[in-house]
Amino acid sequence: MTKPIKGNAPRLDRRTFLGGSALGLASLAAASSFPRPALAKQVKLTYWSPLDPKSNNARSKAETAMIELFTKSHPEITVEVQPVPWQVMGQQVIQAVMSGSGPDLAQLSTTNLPDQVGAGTAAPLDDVVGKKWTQAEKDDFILPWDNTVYDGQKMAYYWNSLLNNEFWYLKTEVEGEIPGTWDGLQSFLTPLAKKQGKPGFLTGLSQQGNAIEFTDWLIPSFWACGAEYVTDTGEVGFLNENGMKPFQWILDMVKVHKLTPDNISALTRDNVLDAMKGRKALSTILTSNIVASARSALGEDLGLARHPGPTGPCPAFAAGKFIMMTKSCREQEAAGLFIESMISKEAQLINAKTAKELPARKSVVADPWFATHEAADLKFAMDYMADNPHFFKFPKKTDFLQTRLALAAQQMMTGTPIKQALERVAADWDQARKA
Amino acid sequence: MNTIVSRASPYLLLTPAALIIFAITLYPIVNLFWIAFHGTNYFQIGAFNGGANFLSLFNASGMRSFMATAIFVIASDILALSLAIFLALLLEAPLRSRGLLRTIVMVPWLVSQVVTALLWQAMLDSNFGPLAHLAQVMFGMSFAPLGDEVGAMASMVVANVWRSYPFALVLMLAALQSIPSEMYEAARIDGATRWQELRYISLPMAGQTALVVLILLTFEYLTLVTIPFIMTSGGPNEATYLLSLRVWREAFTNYHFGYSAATGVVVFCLNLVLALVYIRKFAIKGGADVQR
Repeated sequence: MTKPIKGNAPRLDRRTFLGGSALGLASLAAASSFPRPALAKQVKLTYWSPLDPKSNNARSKAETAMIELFTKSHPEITVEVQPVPWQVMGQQVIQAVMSGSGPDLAQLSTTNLPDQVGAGTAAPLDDVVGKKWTQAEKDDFILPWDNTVYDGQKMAYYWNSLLNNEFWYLKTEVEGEIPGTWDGLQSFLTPLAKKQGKPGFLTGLSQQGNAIEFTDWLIPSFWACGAEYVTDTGEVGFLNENGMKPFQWILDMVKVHKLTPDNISALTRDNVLDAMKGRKALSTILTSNIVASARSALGEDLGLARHPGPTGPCPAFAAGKFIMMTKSCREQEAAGLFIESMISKEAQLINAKTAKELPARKSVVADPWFATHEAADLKFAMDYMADNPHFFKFPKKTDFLQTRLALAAQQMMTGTPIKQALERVAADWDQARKA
Repeated sequence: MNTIVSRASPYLLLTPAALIIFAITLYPIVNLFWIAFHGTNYFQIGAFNGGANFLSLFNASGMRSFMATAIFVIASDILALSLAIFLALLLEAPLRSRGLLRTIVMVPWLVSQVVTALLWQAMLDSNFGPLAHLAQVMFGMSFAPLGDEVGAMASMVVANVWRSYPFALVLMLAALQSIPSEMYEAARIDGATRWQELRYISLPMAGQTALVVLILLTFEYLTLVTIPFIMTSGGPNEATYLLSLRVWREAFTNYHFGYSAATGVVVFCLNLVLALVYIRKFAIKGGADVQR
């Protein structure tokens, strides 16, 4: 390329200079077409997700697309997704992190965070996520910022929002407007159930899956009755006349009005979802993140309404799945970038459009897509959450309390007085807290 | 020097195996006992607390677990062993297509516990299960065995027996096949009936194997988690809340590792006691009888 001329100094000829310049410019142009790497080295993150990337369902596809969005802007970071069933995710994370082989990041169910913090497996995120965020950006989350703050440290971010208590019904068999009160609902459903020859209202009291099928509607019912799930001092807040009302209601639905079958003690959330998809019951209460699944089976026949309560609709029980960095994480900067990307507006919009999941951020809802018919179910949930919210922070060992409440309800079904069953729950809860 | 080495060499050669056994068998057991007598906060082991963790087992809920476990194990043992002996006698007979029959009855053994539990749960599902459908169509009645206490336990026992009888069958079949045919021929010459052959030859000669099968099945049933976890989750009303499921739930739902370890110790001791009882009662006395 160079030709020696007078002396030893090399000299570029014109053709070589022009060729080299063109090559340099082309290289620069090629380089600038890729995002600038945020990290100087290649990094691999292990992410435990309840969604299997190989699955063909919408939620898995959405998460894969969200991860692709991240890896496109951070090609230096590889994300290995390891699917873990949601029912055992909490315990698996604790076991793995305590043995030093945990993932870098994990997405967990809404009730798990207090126990992850209690077990010392969650790492604080204050120094790795949203360091430069303004207050407005922090306020952009639908669920309260402090819900994932423990001892002044941000321990996780909501990955989505969930509305736990949507009233579902079959439109073709349940004609008319759904009453907002328990009494109204009972009168409304009784003739319809007789006419259709199927249960008017279905729920499940199984302890499987931490009894969420039951507690997802029980907890907001407590609030609507003027009781609490757990008080600020950590005691149960339902051992009173108000707290007994939701139990009395479901007992009446089973024993008096016969609108709910008496075999519900064994039913899980999956059983109830399947029953609704198979049109085996007229109505139920389930969560927003599985509406899409039911919609695929029922189409326009699935109706959504607000959860009826003692004197009017119960408050919306809003929660969310969360993403956390574990104490096993060695690449905290990369993990922080991953979390920021997963909760970004772009990623949240992908999740909303593909999986029909409620976004974690308010600003995402401003997207025109939310005004379309496709987003109607999400819009219903967002409106309910906005109109009648009741945010709260799950206590430690809430899984224990939830399964214990389901057991109490099962005992009531076999004749144990409500007060006696709840007193046992309170005693066991006190023992569990003190243990 | 050579003498010392030659004397020590067996022990040196055994050391790797002994270390592995210690690491994967003895250490966890010792650790289980250690945790059972200490307070815990999630996975962190706290101070010695005497037998406080064991108290949780002696309340009403704990007693229901003992009762449920006893019913489940005894019923499963009796049914699985009886079915295995019956089928072994049947398959021992000179039937046409015996090979095919043997293959078919072994199929449940190939199915994992998770699949077994899901399969039976689906069969017994009150909304979509084929049995519920049949009950509705044929008798106009609802069928929801998992929804009541007796039905749930019965369903779980049936599913468990279905899954585990082939193991017992293989061993019982082998035991029956090992009985010399001359014994049957001699008995027939003496005018013994088929029932007398069974009563005085087959069953006593296969008794040792039946004992071993019973011990192994009992051990397995006492520690079974998957089937109750998936099929009933311990319900309804703790009717199927086996001790084994309690070990799991105390640890991984309630995060009471001390209670969980205490329950684990009780299950371990139950296994140990039962094994000793079986061996003393049957292996030593029964074995001597058979040999005579």
